[in-house]
Amino acid sequence: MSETYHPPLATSRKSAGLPTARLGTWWVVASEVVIFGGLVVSFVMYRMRHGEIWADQASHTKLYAGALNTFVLLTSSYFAVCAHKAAEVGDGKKAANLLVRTILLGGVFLCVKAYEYTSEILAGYGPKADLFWSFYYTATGLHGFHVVAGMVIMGFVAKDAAKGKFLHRVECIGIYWHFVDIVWIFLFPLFYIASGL
Amino acid sequence: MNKNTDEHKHPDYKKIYYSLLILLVISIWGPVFALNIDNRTMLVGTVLLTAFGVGLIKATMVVAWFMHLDIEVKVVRRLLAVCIAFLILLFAGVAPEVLCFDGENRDADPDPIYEYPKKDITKPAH
Amino acid sequence: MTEASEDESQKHAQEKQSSHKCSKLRSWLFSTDHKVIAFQYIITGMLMAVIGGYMAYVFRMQLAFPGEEVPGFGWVSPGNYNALVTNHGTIMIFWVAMPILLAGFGNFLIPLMIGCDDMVFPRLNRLSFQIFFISALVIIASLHVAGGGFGGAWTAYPPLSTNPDYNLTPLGAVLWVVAVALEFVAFLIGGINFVTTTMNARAPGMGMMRIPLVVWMIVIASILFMVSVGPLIAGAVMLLSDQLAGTAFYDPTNGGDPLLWQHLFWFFGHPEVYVVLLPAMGVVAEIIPVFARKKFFGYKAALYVTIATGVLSFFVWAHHQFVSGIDPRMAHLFTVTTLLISVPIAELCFLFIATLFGGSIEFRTPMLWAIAFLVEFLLGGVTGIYLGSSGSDIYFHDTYFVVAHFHYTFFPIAIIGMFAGITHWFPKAFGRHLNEKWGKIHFWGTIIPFNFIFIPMFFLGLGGQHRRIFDYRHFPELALNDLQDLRILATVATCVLIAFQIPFVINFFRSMRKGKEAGENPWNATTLEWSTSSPPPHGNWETLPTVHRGPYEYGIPEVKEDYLPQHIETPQTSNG
Repeated sequence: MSETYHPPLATSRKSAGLPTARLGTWWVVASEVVIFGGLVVSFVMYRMRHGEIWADQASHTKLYAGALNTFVLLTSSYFAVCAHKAAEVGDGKKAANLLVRTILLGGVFLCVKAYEYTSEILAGYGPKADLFWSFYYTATGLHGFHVVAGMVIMGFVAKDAAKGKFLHRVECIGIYWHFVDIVWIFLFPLFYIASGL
Repeated sequence: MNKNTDEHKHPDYKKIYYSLLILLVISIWGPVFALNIDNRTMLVGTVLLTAFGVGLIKATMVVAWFMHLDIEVKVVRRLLAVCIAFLILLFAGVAPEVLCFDGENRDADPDPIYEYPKKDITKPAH
Repeated sequence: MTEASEDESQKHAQEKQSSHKCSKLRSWLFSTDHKVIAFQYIITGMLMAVIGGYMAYVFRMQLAFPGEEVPGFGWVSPGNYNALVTNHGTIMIFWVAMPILLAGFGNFLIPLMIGCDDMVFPRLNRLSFQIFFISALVIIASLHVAGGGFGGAWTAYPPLSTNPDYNLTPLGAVLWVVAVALEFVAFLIGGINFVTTTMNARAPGMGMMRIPLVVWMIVIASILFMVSVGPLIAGAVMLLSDQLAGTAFYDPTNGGDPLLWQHLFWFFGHPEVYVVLLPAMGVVAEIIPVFARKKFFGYKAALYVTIATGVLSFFVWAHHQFVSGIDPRMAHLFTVTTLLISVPIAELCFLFIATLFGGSIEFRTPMLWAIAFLVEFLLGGVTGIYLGSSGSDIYFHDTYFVVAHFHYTFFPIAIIGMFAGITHWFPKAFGRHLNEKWGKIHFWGTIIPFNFIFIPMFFLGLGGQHRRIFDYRHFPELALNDLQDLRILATVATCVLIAFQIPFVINFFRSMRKGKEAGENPWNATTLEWSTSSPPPHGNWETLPTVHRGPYEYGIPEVKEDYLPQHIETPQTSNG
């Protein structure tokens, strides 16, 4: 079916002043903001309610693994934005190359995450150990799921970009990836570094 | 010109990336350093400022220059602002209920419902 | 014609040629055409309405004639009763009102009314329907798993929803949450499509203030849905993990808080009322000017009060929780905001009435439905004042007064609004008229029994009849004959109402083939969808229209006809 598919004219119109694909991506980001926001708001409420006791739990998360992951995601975001820059001048090969690097860094992120999960669970901090850990696994799990989704979509975009097709998609997947990065920028202090409170 | 793209000037991404890394170091170092502070208010202030304040700056930088919100049409900024405003509303409406479990108007429970510690919390941090 | 629009029409022709290459059924099932997807949504919604209506019939029979076998179902056990009531509510809101009003009308009307050939993301649109269809299958499956369907009310408050020891439906409860979550995903995708289409794909000349009100309202409803559902999706993830992994997000003995779910649910649940109300209001706003032959009174005012309603709808959620043990000071605040929200909605009703005032009104079937919507919804709104006041709500809470109140709002929204829209746009969708006489029989046969169902419930509620009770004979003060008579009256009216839907179904399918031919513009209406042939071809127009004026130009003195469509450039003057 996909060979006979032509996008309708509506897709190429720009009444709002920006390309449709990017506008759609922004709406996706907006709806994700409220999904993660709802989780973070719930967590912050419980965190404030259980104050010092949760601070003790939070001190058992692996600060340096989290910091490494922040570094990894920031770097991958840097590659994603460079890919966008390359795609804009029409250099699909370079964009695809940079996107592949982004995907690889996403893989590194997941490996670090897997190491963290394993060692936490082995140390007795499984999802049911405490409500703090339930939140920890739910929030980072949901975030990890978004990382995986981003990597898969980016794979398709990179494949097309290498052939010079659909280069505008590089920017859209970039926006999504930066959003995933920003979620992590907030999850990192919430779960890892604010244990002194 | 392709209809689906609109080209624009690019800031120096490398510079932004390096400053993000510097901010990352600050946000890790700050709370660790804060553990040595005796004054509780100062401690909380330092942690909030370095962990969340710097986090906010990092997020703003990524949104503005990596996601190009600085040159995006205004409507996008507005729709994101609306989403965040409603999240703040959610917090403002729910927090008084969920945070407060021993208010004046409730049956005061002498024993806290949530009993800690269940685990040995004297174990040193990793 | 400008260069850009020439380029557009060339591409338009190419695109139309490339469509329809596979077999008919397959191309219908997997079509990306917005009109086909709209029909799919509406048909699925109507089938689900049959299921939901059947459930209502069964539990009404149980309440009127407790302990006896219900014809067509058999003996109703308490567990069956709970599952029926819960799933009646869930299905009617999420699988009937939402798909028909928001997704069905939204898909059909938005591209036609703003003058483009399709949604901007047609394949996402198809994906959205497919996810929705799967969610419908999951909710039906949840009724047939071991343990039966979930019976913890459509609000799914923990611990009833999280602990299988309490709800006795370990599988039904999980499938219920999964179905609702899938449905949310479907409408998130659909909503993003609606909003993006309206923002970016409007016809040349279609400025912000020239968009028909129904499109505005569907878009605002989509945004409301998108913003409010996020926290609930997060909440549903927590609920699922409480159910499946045994975590303690909502369990107070381990540090959680069941109130959090109530807040997350109603933070979504109250805007949800407006998510389904606004499209219905929009449908009525389209019909009234057409059949009153008069310009809509206060287009901008209507738009602004709609936005005000949308914003205010986020400030009222805790009025559902006045007896949940929330702080009385919070309850005061929410009483004020709840009573405030009646202002913009009343304003909207006044604008409808002002449009009718002095018009030359023609009582065709769509107009009857539109006016019935106003009248019945007003009753629902007025009874809401009692429930919104935290003092009186303590008495009314969870009685049949509440049931009657929200049916007086939801029935006009979902059923009357749906029939208004279907009768109004049927000639556009199929090129033929519905039978007017049978339409009117169906109208009166629906409206009169509807009032006979729910007015007795107001009295029952005032009499102290609590909701969610399986058999009132167990409560001597509620088993009085006076009350039982009212219950029997409501049940008989339910059966009459259901029986009167048969003429509609027959009329619908007969008129599709044999109805009177309707031309392009049978109602002499002005909005863009009436400027193409009926039914519209794939791609909607031969050449895409350009817009020259606002959507409700009726009764202009200088013009020969009494209406001036949006796409006509130079009006025919009465002198020339």
